[in-house]
Amino acid sequence: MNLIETRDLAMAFNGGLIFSGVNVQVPSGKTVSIIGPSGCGKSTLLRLISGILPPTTGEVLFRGEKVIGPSRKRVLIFQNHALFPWLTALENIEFALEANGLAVEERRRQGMQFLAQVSLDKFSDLYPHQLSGGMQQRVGIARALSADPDLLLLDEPFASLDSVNRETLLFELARLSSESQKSFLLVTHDIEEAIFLSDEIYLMSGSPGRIVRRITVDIEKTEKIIDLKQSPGYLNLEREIHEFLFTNR
Amino acid sequence: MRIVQGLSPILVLILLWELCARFGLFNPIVLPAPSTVLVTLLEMIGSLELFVDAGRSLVRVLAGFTLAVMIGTPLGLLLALNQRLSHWFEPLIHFLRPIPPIAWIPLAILWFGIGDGSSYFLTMVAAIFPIILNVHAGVKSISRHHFEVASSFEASRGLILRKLVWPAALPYTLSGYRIGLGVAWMTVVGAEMVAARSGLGYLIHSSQDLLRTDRVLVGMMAIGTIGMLIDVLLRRTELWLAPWLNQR
Repeated sequence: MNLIETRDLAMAFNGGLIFSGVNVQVPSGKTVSIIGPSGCGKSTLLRLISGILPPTTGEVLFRGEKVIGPSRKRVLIFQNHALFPWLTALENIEFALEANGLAVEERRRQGMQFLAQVSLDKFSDLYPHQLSGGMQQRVGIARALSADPDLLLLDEPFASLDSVNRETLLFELARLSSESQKSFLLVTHDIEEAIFLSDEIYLMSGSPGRIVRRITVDIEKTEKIIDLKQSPGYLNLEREIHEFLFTNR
Repeated sequence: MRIVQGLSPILVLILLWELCARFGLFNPIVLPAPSTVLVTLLEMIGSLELFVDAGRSLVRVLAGFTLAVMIGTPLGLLLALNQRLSHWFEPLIHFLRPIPPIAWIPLAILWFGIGDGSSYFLTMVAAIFPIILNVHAGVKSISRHHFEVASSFEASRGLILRKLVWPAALPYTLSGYRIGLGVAWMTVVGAEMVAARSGLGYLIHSSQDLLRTDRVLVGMMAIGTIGMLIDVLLRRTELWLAPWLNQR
């Protein structure tokens, strides 16, 4: 069953069309990526699916019901992590737990658990600017998970990370998606990330954006990204996506 | 080193001034010698007179400032968060703001008479505009992403106000308080010169009538010193209330 289904979504800002005719499905428990060039409206698309923004036309269905506003069942994770700089790592997570109606002690206890899940329980009292970029993003992910969403919407979560941090986080996300029943919708312009994490990939073209292709990733995932990147299945897929993106710029 | 740098010109100036006075270069009523002012200062400290007047001024400023905080803070928040309200009231605020607080003195005397009431009102008027405008700017400076995060978690209005809007705007708000208190302090002196019978402003004004220029100078020194201390104190408070700004 599809957790998310969009029907002919279109979005315009100030009369300018950003994208149109977007039909995307996210099956329950799966990870889906959308790859496209900058400016094709990927981030906007995530906001429509989360419910933060209403679409100009078309609709988003969540478990078959029309999305009419934001919900903690569909949580956004931002490229710049969007942690609250005035709250410590723990307090950032407690914010989500408090929004969920938990009492003080329960917030503290669960907050520490979620921090431990991303191995940051030792850093609970540090403010975001005292953490590295990778740690900040992990707090952002822990904060999103603490709301117990069915769907995590990730807006280029690796864009500002160095390669080591990025790979660590990629594996953490892969582990999360395989261990939990949660679905992930990832927006990126990085082919490697998309192939590594996804069950399905949508290719989007630019201005105005539209979905041009849907690809099922059925290659075997390896322990290391470097091994994956050298497997024939990966290389074929990468070539296919790469060529498609370049011919459809 | 920096203290020496800052103090040397002042000391040189005082020394020159003392010499000029000793050689009778000017009338002591126009400008008394620093040594005379010092003696007067010690007298007024000894008799506690200076403390009484400073205390009266401080109480007035704190009363007016507290009113301004209590009215100005929610008003700034409301105007920043409610588009419709801001369309209605922003022009009014921008019209009232450029009127100097001391221009309100005649009205204050008519409405509240000579005394504390007028001073409370005038210091409140002085402090409230920097507070409203800074709180407003603080809220407007909050990233759209942070509001999106909050609505993504379905945070209640109360939670958004407590954990997002208030702390995010706090650096601006505290600057507003600091500026507001500074302007209020300057205003209370003006207010007391006309609309009160006590306080540092009244002290310098009445001393001028008595040709006691030494007392005028002591009063001015007290006004400057207290104003400076208030500013330092509030800067400290900023670092204490917004610890996430410390280690930047």
